[in-house]
Amino acid sequence: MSTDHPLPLAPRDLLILAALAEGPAHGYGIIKAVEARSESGVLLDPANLYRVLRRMRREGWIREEPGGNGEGGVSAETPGAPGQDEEAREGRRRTYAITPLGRSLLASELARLERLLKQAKPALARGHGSAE
Amino acid sequence: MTSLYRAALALLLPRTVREADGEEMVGAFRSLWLDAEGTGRRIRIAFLAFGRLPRVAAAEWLEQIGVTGSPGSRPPGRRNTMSGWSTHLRLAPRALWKAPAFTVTVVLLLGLGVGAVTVMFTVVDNVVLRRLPYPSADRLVTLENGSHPGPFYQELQALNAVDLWVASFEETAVLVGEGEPLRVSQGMVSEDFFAFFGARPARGRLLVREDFGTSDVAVLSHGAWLDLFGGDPEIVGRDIRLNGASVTVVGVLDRSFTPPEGGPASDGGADVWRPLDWGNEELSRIGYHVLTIAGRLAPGATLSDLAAEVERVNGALADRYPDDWTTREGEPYATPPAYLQELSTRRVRSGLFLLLGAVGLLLLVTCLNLAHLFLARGIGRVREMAVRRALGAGMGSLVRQLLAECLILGALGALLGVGLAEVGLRTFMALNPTSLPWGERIGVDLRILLFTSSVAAGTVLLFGLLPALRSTGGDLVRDLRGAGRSATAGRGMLRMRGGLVVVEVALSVMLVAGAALFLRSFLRIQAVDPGVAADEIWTIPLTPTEPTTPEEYRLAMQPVEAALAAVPGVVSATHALSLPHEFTGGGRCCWSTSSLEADGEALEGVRIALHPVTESYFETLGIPLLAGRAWSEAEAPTEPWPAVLNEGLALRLFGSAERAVGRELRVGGSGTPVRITGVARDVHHYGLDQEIPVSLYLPMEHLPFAIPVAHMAVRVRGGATAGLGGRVREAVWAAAPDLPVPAVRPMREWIERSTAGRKFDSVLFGSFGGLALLLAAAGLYGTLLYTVGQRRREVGIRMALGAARRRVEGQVVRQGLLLASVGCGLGLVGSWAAGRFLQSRLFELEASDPSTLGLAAVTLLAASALASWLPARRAAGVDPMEVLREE
Repeated sequence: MSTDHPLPLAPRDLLILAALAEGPAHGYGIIKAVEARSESGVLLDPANLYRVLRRMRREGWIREEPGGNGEGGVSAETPGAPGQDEEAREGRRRTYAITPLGRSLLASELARLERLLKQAKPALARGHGSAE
Repeated sequence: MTSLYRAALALLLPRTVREADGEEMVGAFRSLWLDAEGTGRRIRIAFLAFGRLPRVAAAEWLEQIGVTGSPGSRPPGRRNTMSGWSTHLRLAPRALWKAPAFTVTVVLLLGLGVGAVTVMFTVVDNVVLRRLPYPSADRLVTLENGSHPGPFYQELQALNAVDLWVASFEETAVLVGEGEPLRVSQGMVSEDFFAFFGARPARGRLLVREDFGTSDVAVLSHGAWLDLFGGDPEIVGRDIRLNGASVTVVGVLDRSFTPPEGGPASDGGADVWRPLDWGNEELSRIGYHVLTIAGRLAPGATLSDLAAEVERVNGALADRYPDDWTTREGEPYATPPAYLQELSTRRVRSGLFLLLGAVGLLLLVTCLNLAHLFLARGIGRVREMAVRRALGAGMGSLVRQLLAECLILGALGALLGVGLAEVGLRTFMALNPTSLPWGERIGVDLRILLFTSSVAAGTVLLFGLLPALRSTGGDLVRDLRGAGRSATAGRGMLRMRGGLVVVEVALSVMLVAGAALFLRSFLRIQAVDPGVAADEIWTIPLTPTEPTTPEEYRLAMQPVEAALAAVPGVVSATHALSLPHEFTGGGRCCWSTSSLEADGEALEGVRIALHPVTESYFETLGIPLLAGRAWSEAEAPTEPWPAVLNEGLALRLFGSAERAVGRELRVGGSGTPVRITGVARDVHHYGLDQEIPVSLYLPMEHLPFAIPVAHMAVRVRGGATAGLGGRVREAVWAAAPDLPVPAVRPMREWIERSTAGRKFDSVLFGSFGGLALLLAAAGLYGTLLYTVGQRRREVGIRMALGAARRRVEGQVVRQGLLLASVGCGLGLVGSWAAGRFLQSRLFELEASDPSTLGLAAVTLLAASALASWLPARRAAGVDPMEVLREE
């Protein structure tokens, strides 16, 4: 676990944490949630997503759900037999959930951003005023 | 698509990552793909998933090998990684500064190796590898087997495989009216010649269709315009006098134009270019081989298509001209096509690649020495590294630190290498006596810089970082306690260094053997008797272009010879069609025959060089007559023609020189009777390294044609040569006012020129070999010194127990010699295997010559013995008391 300040978060990390804050999800769920959330349509590529997830897990921001009760809805322990159909295989997907550390990190990052916004916005308003 | 993604992951990602998350990634991708609505979105997904993969994969790999830090210790975010690097890059120079000897040596070695390789690579790249600077250069072909006659060229026009043919030939012309009369080379070219090679005019225009048929126009080369006409801005439209006729200059070629090697005027192009006159009667003769031919393959046609078509043409010509177009064996004359690119570099290719190979070996030896240095430094830093690790630095951080040091050393080495390459390249071009095609365009450019930097970086990473890592990965506790205390410490290291020494010695043996071979070959050729009094002879090659009949030719040259004989200090003068050693390398003889009869019996299968000379030839050149005498002035024009044989021919025909005198021969196709007046000693006419030709000397009076070549020679008493050049020129001009006198040279100079290539080979290989020898010895020395240091305790204890000094010394020397012997053995095998690349450049010496190779091995062993003895003395100098007190 790092003792360094991880803030500010990279926008991608922020979006992933925010998606997981709403409830555990597997990789595809995260991709969908992030895309839906971001208005500009951020689309994560799978390889990089799992790279980021691995790092977040090491840092203790997220964890793997033991029961695997994500949007797939099927237990991760379902034994994989030959000839299984697509649905059942999807069922073995790992689901990720946010940890308390992750949640507090997200909260403090959001607070930091809000503070920043509060400081910056009036400047823009003033700038507009002088221009008019 | 999903399986494609799976395959891409399998291909690109490290195994651990694949095992952990691979299936998950594939699953997520599959869902994305299946749920996607519309082609546009699918394209976006594919683009994203595949497009980003390389970057992710690269990051994963870097993490795997620990370059971006071990995962556990890595703070999140890019920012921190960067600051880690900048710290290391800041610390590295400090660490290097603290070890100045190491740093300087590494940079010097690296610069030297990289510089040498860069020089040779630059030359090879420019001369051999780069495309010829002509339009459609990869489709340009030429026909081999020398030059070709006009009727053959006309036949070629009908071929389908080539869409454009051009022809040219070069001849000597005399230019008067620009100060001294000058000898210039004149290129006669067919209509499309300039367009074919993409030539552009710098001034005026090039030759156009209307110029063909009139012969009074000329285009100047850029060099000739500058050198001969002082860059006259009014040159276009000016009339100049060439071979006594007035010719109008219509344009000047652009500076960039150079005709290909093997084409007209190989030495950088002709001075004057003029339209080829197809009405010239000579050009319709099948026996008049004069044209150099090049063609452009039609789109889609191959060289073998062309070869088949040319073979058909040759078959047809052989039927039509059985006497001229068949070989001795009755086959049609062959003119195989070859790519211009290949042919124009063939002459120098093998030599350059040989040098590149030698330089490569040298680079390897330098690299191995670098490895020694890095290993030694690594050993010195084992404790430092252990302390850092104990304090929490991860392996990744240590690697980054070493990498930063290596990068700085590599950059410095590359910088020095480029500098040395600049200097080296200029020196190489100045010293190399072989004229290189495109020599003038050779320079260090961006490609070369990239090459140099990658060589330097690769070298440092491979030979610097790996050994350094090797010495930091040991047992932490042991390292902290102090390296070298345990008796088994560094055994793996020793094996590694021993291996390096073996390879180094082997490579050095190869280089030293190459040097020894070239040196011996050069000495052998120096020992060849030139057969003439080379130190007292000066040569004056002349080009009389005005005479058109043999009679005119003789009448023009006789007064010149007489004038030369009258020059103060000159003992005698002569002239001949060619002089010994002047035309070296190729058999550019002007007159020869293969039919000769003695006593009614024909001499089969021998080409006899016919040398038309004046009667003072033997006296002037100092060629002794073994029997009989030269003909007298009165005898010269008589019939049967008086003649002098060389010893080889006399022995072949009559068994001895004495028996030949007074006999008669029939020479040439028409069987002209010839009476032998004497036999002269053999002379290596075409160069010391060439076979002695079977020769027949005839009086100049019987030269059957006029030729613009007359080679004068004078013999000077006791080398009284001060001002000789000027006096000789005056004498020539007194007798023939418009004759150019380009060079008055001692014959010794011609001989030296003909062996200059071998001298260059010897010097270059000698310096490579010497350097390699030094480096190998240094490597061995360093390794043994290290061993001795490692075993100080052991040696001390043994000496305390009464071991003799000699014994201790002997043991170290034995160890060194063992390594060296293994290396020598490998090196000898290597030399033997590489011998075929050298063979063609050796004179009367086998590349596998046992005594020469043995000499190389012994040299290496001797150097190794010395390099071993010094550390041995140090070992034996260990004071037992001191060692025991350290305990």
